[in-house]
Amino acid sequence: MKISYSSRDFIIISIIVAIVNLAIPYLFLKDYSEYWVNFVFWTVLTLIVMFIGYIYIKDWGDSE
Amino acid sequence: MNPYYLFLGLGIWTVFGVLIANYAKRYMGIGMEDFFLANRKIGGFISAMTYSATTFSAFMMIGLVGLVYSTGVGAFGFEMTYLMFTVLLLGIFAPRFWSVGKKYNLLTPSEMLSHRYEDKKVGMVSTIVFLIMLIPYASIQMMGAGFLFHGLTGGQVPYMVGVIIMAAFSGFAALWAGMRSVSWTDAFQAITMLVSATILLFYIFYYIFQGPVNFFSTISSQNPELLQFTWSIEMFIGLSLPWAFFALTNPQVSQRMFVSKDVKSLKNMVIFFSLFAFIYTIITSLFGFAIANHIPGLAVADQAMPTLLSQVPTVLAVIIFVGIFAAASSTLGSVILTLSSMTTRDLAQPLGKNLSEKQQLLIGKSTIVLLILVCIIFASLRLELIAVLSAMASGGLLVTAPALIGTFFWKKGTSQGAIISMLVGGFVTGSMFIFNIYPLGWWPSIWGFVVTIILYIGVSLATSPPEKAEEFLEVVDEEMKKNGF
Repeated sequence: MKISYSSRDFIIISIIVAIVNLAIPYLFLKDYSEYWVNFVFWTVLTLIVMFIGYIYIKDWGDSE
Repeated sequence: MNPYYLFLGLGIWTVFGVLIANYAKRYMGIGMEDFFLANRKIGGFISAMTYSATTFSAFMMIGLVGLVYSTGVGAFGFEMTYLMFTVLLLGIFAPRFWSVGKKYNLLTPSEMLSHRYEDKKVGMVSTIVFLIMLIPYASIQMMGAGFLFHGLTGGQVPYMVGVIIMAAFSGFAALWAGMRSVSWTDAFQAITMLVSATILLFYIFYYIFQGPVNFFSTISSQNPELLQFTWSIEMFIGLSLPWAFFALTNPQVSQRMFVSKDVKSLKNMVIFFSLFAFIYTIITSLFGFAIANHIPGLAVADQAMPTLLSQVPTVLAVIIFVGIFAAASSTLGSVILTLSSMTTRDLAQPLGKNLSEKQQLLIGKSTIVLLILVCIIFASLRLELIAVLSAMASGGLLVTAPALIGTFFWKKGTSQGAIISMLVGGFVTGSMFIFNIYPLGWWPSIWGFVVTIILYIGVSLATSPPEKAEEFLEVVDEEMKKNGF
């Protein structure tokens, strides 16, 4: 079975996000409270995922 | 607060809600597809708003605020994890659900499972799992309304009055014109949620903290412990994993992947929902920090928002109350409508055989009334801890994930694998939650999920795949290409 490129990319991105989402807070940010750093980390990571999602999703329907 | 103001505010808002539901009815056609999916004719903005209002329940303004209040920034990370994976899951599954739904005229996620695994028992079992897990979740929305009415009026309005008002509004929205009235009133409710939360944010920023900059610096200097990530990895994964799969495993939202009228609407649903979710999650999380600083020392974290509301001007409290009511009633209405569609299509239809459209509709509408009554009874039991019960519902629904993923990505997945994995996985997760069993510190949903995956793969490999599994996957591929995904 073939998986379309965008789906394959989404799956790879999901795995990377799952790792980054755990690794960075637990390895580097656990004891920090300065500058709202944990809050900023999750805000920025979410924005990145939303942006990547948008890049793929905006092309849906183009070959209709 | 004087109950008069609360009833006045809610009354005015309800009039608009009823008018919108009634307007939606003008466009209503006949038949099951029209009642339960609005004939797959929902535009992008309404799709996004109904998706948002259905997803975000009273949990956000009560449970999440309380979780940030008591455990700090970890709760924000957990909620953002949900959002990131929802965007990714919608990217993978929305084109597939939408394409096969249209191709095979599927009305419910359970019907899709029955179709793919060529066995109606798969749809029946998944529907039973959905019913068991979502009735408590729906009841929690009524409980939220009950506690709020009772708490905000200092006990002048009995708890059950709030429960009944919520039940009546959601039941009406679901019954009046099915998916059409639910999605249109959901859009009204989503806007109410966002506007009311934004008003409260401005009040907190400018009246309590004298400006946003001062807010952030005050929390940073006076509540640094809340900005530290203190969650254990077991708790973070235990809460986040079920929510990461929410978009796939919760039928009230996954069914919304069927309703968009075209590809552009589906695309706009995902984009506008993610924007809504991003803003709403940040705002509600900030409330938790603000209340922890402003009203410290509350014994019950879920009381953080209601306590704040008792201290703000009455007009603002009423507006926020209506926003929370909207969040709860929109989730409740959508859950009830989806559960009734599955009870009709995936339980009654296979058991009753050859039911006419008219008979199915009658069963569907009767089920809405029955489910509302069941939820009222459940809410009257007053089980506590909204956050934990919501998490259990998602944790329990996680057992449907392997069968749903296998539907599109594993041709060797079999009906036996799907049925056994959901039944045993559901039993394991539910029992562990009920008896409070956390082996090695890991949450029941994690153990249940592991058991489900092993059983789905193991049993599927030991049994023969459905004859047309490969053909189904080829059709999915063809349809997706045809639709430009």
